[in-house]
Amino acid sequence: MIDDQVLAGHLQELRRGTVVVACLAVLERPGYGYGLLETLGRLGFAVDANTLYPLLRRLEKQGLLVSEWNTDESRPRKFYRTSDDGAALLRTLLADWRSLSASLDALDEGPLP
Amino acid sequence: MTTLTDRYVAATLTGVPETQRADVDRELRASIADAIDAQTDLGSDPELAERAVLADLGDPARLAASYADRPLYLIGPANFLAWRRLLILLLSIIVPLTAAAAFIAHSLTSAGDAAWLPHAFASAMSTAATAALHVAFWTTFVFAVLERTPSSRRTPVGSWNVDMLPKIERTKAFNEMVGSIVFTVLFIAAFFWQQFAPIAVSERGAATVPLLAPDLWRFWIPLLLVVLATGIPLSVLVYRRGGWEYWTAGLKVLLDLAFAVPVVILASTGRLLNLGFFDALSWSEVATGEGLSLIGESSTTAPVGTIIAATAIVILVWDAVATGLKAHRRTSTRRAAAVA
Repeated sequence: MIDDQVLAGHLQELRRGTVVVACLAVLERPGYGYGLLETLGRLGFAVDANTLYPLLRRLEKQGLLVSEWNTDESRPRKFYRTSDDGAALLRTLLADWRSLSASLDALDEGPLP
Repeated sequence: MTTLTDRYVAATLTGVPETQRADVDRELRASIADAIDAQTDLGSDPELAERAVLADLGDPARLAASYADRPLYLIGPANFLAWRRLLILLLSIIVPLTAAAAFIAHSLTSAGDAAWLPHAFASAMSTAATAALHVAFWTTFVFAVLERTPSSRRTPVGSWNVDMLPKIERTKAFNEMVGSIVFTVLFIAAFFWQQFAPIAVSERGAATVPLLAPDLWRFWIPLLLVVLATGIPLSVLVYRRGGWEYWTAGLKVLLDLAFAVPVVILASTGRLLNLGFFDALSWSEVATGEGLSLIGESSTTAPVGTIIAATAIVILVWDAVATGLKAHRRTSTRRAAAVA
């Protein structure tokens, strides 16, 4: 029987980087903080608001997202969109994820040749 | 009227760099309002919804640190080892040096002072303590500042290489020697400390009365100090010879005996402790009030004296056995090595 805390720790480690990938993918269509939080939650990426909001700013600072204030509605919102650099990073990360996934599948299917 | 949200945003903004404040302010308010709306749409009370949303966002100081990309620790894993190494190095150099300097300076300037030795010793101890405090504070301070400089978090201060690996046997023996010297020095210092500085506090304030009987300074305390101090060259000798041998272990037991025997005799005959000390703490009043002699002058079975005597014997036996075992183990491994 695996200790719950141990399990939670390993799951968190495994999923740590996936939030960035998910953000870059979702924001290929422009989105704002809370909307993104809900979308990610619905898709099964558990992320806290206090992690996501600073993360968006960090990604923007790294030039992976671009932002724009939308003042058309009664509540002005900051919309983020994946930049060209961000899109390129997303392709790289996804390719890496798939190759890792393929390796893990191979390991899971049987012993190494 | 300020709302909880106003207070939350204000608390967060104080920790966010000036240039980002306006933007974070607007965005954070919009995000909070969105989250509250989402809850009220499901039928929640607006006030409760606000509370829940803010509680979910957590400590504003933590959120601000995350916005500002600031660490939430004093010294992080990248610099911790460099900090510890430097701190130990500086302490081991600066503290003994300042202690020695203070001792010499005090001895040179205290002409005519009959008690110059204990005074110089006390001065050395307090200077060393101050120096240690300063070294620890400033080293930690510099590292904490470095930790908050983004570039140094990426490239840690100081690096490790294979040549820095310590030699195993040597280190263990060295640590043992240093430990025993430090203990001896502290023990010697304690004798002076109890004579010149308050060591206990009663409801009437600090008791500036010595714990040990003052007339012991005429012969017994100097004897005990000499015996203790002799242990220092012995531990250096043991280190240089690579460990305990039967004859060094024998010397050690002799020294232990030379310390323990006077202590046991003095303690069990009620001559070790200063009655005035217990008077100052009004312990003896309590004791006599109950018709019980705690450390009666003539009483040879005084509890405190008996406890001290018994402790001295236990330590003596324990140290003799431990040292003897070390000597035995070393000799037998050597013999085994010689046979092989």
